[in-house]
Amino acid sequence: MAFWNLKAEGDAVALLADSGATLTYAQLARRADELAGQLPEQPGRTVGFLLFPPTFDAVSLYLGALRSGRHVPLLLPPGIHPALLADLREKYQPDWIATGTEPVQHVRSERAAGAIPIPHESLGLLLSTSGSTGSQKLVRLSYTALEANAESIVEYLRLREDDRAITTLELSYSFGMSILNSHLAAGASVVLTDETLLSRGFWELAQKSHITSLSGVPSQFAMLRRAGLERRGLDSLRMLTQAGGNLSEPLKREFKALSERLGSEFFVMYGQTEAAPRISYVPPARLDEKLGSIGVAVPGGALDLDPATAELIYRGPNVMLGYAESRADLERGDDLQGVLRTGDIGRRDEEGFYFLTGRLKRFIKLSGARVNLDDVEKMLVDELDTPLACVGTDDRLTVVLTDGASVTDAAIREFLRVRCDIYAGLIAVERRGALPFTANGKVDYQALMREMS
Amino acid sequence: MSKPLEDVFSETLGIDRARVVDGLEYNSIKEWDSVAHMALIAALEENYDIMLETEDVIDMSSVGRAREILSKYSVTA
Repeated sequence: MAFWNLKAEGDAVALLADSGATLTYAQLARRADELAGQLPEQPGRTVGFLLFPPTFDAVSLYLGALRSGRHVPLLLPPGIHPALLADLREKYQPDWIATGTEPVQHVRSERAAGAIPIPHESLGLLLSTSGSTGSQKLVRLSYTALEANAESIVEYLRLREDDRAITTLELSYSFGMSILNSHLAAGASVVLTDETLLSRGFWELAQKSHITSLSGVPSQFAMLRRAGLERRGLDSLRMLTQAGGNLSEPLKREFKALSERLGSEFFVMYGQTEAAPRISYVPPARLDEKLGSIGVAVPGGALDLDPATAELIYRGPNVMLGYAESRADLERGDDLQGVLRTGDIGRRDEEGFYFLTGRLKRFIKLSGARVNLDDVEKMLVDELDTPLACVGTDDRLTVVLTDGASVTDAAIREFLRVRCDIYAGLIAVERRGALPFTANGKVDYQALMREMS
Repeated sequence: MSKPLEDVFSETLGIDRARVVDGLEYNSIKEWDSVAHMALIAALEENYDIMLETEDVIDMSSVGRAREILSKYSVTA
């Protein structure tokens, strides 16, 4: 049974707000259908944008669109940059735009028959692959993929009706979305808040709501440490879950020990938006001995390595239909047939646990968002007209300039903030005599990384 | 010799010094999100050569609150 059917006991609580307000499953189902009624009435399949804040109405609209079986939302962060939104509108020509706070805006009042490509019948949802760098490529997820991944998360986390999560990530981000989906699939509940891990308001709400799980990307685990998780009085906590990039081994060890002291489990997980998103997890009991591992495939899926390149390949019902780069691409059906080439290079140990050893392309994750270093580098070079290189690790983008460059660090930070939505705390700027080059004249990124570490 | 509080905020968040006023609140501008807050905490600790308590980290909800909190550590902010 798909999570959007909201089939838990009618009076069970589904959502809670900062204010203390609650919404039961029955109320949520009613509100979802009511708000879906604001979506275009004319028959046929539509595509819309949902700028997705953590509110009752936005979640209701999201579920309402899925329940309608014909309105396909693209989930976007509520604070999306206007220029980026304009770009997306141009490319995907949405039929409607919703914010969950204002009435749904109908962008197209009448549709010329045949003029606008109609989304494929199996397409349920669209997600963005990264922040604002490079092309605005979307991931096309089927109803089946969404349902399958939510169910498999419920299974390996052993989620129950009395579980309660709290929003720590954007709901438009695949990890954030999957927490909502899986908790609804389990008949459990989710606290919706804008507060962050570094504010007292968040911790008071978490304690008062008796949350049972906390989730985060690597940068947020550093925050949990600074915020003193152990001292926040979370007496119902039963699990911590981590995804969205590699968490350093010292932090993994620290949170493993801390989870044990709190009587909870620590799940280290791996995924990609392209898999709706969960691909693998490390069973908590094995974490100590498999510390650097991404674990084993989630229930219903299978991992493998390309014999030639060692690229990690995932097969499962949660794999996307394919990418989209235009409205016309939304007409496409299942391009991938359940097989996802992850772009990550890996190895497998004798017990079948997988480890990542590199990437085919130069990607890093910044606060969970995938950033293509080559794209960022090209944007900077185009703008500043000076030799430079972008390298990095998860949660740290380093821009390397030569000593002769006249551009200031502040100008680099400003450009990355305005154009790429990357903030100062994630950026380092370094200067050196010259950039290292390989024999065939390309920037030697590996040498740069070696020298920096 | 430590830098003025305003300079630490302005440099770490990448915003104009003129915007660093006591009423400026955490999470109210994109530049001061949780990732930037972590960098800010580290920069303040380095600037004043102190270690902030966890309670102070989660109470530092505005420039004004930061100033109050830092005064407990006997530093001039």
